[in-house]
Amino acid sequence: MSELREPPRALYAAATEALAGAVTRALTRVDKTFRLAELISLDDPSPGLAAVRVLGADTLAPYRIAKRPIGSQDAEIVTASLVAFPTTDSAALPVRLQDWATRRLLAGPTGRPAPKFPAVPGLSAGLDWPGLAAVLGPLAPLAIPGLDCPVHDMARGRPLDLARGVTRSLLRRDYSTAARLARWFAIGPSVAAVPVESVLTHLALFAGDDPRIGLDIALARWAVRDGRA
Amino acid sequence: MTASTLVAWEVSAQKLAEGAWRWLGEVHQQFALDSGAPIDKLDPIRHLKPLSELALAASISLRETPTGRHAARVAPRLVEFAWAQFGAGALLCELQRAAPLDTQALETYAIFRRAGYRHQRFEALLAHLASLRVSSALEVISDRALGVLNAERVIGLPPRWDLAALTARTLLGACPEPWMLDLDSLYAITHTVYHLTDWGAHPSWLPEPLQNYLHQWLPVWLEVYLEAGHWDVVGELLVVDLCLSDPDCPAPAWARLAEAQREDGLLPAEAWRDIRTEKNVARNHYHPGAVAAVAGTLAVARRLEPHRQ
Repeated sequence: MSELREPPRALYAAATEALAGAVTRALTRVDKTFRLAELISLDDPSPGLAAVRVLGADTLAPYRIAKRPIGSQDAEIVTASLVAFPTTDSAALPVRLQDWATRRLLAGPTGRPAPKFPAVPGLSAGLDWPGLAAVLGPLAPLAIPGLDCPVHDMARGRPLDLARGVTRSLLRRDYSTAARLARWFAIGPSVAAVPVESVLTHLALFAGDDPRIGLDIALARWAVRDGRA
Repeated sequence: MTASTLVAWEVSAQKLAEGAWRWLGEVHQQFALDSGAPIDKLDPIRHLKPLSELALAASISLRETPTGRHAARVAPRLVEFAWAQFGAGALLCELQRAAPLDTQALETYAIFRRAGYRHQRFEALLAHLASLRVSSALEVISDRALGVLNAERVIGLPPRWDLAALTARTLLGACPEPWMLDLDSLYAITHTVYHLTDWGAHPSWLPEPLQNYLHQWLPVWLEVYLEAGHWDVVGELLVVDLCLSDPDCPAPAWARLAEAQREDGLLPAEAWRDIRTEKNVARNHYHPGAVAAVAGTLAVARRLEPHRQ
């Protein structure tokens, strides 16, 4: 019965959606009591840890937005997710960078040194706007206010091209890509024809029922508020 | 970079135009009107629109000078053919008398005036109608109204509306959120640009904020409809680019459109159409044919005259 050895994808996906919903609620209510440990048990960890691994640094966003330290139990859960699903050196760029982002946000509370940003040669060299969207969409988990790195610099430097990427995704009704790109668009300068608030409200009303998209919208709204602060 | 983008855009454009003119030269006779058919049997969309649009493409070719041997041969013949179908202007008179408030005959006549044809009695009829209060009180959607204004300008009639006020009321004039535009609204935007610049003759007549808006969002709409293989609107968007003071001339889009054109010069309206099973190939695909002819012709013209105002 080989299928029993396959990872239970549906279970993982459901756990990821549930966690995305919980993080979104914590972000939108600025929940000062959000605790991962209440959602995920280390005794029966598998789907929960997978969900933490998938959402990565986004899981820790409620702490940053509420400006409170990550509890030791929650840090332990995130660390366990990194151990349970290790990243290899040959992993794709989005996986390696998401890994960096998670470790970077964990560094303070766990007392570990902040990891160095991985060497990514020519990240933006010669990318046209569709190329930029193709690179930045999968890197959306790095678009957390304050998580400064070369990818943030790249996004801030190309507002019009990001607006084009968001526009194309909306026209294609590819709302998950639109929401991911909107997170980058939200941390940079504005573009008159594409007001970021309108984009986010549009996304929320057209696709916000999807928990992953809802989480991206909540994080983008935080980025907009952070940029104005 | 793919191999296709290595082809210079103007080479793709010239190839596209010449193929389109050759094909239009082969099929245009199929749009002949039944001689002696009463005008109430003439359908504006089925019978008159193709003739007007073929004449329009040809009139632009004559204005810009031809792009090659097929355009040089076909364009004058095509406009002559269409003028003959309209009874050398007599049919336009009849249509106007049957529907005095309709502006279609006026807009069609402007195409022939551009190509050097005239009909004195029809002009007298138009001048009379223009003098009536009803003309400026007509309720016409803004981008269509711009077509009327441009036709009046070409013919030499006084403008019935204020151009700037009308422009501001169009969809393009609002610089709408670019992600909200569906196919119909994009066609409305393309025609606003055509009418304001008289089909690329006067790029500077398109207000600068609208030019900036189009520079920003044309690349996105092109990308979306290239991906969808909607060659007709891709051609129209490339014409819009050529109506700007400083066109971007996107080489990959030109290459893709030239590649979509069949050996015989037919450009399918959409990539997914199976031409082999269609009965009315000329009728179904004359529009992208005319668009390709105009796009390629304007492209060659702008290549020779990049700083046109």
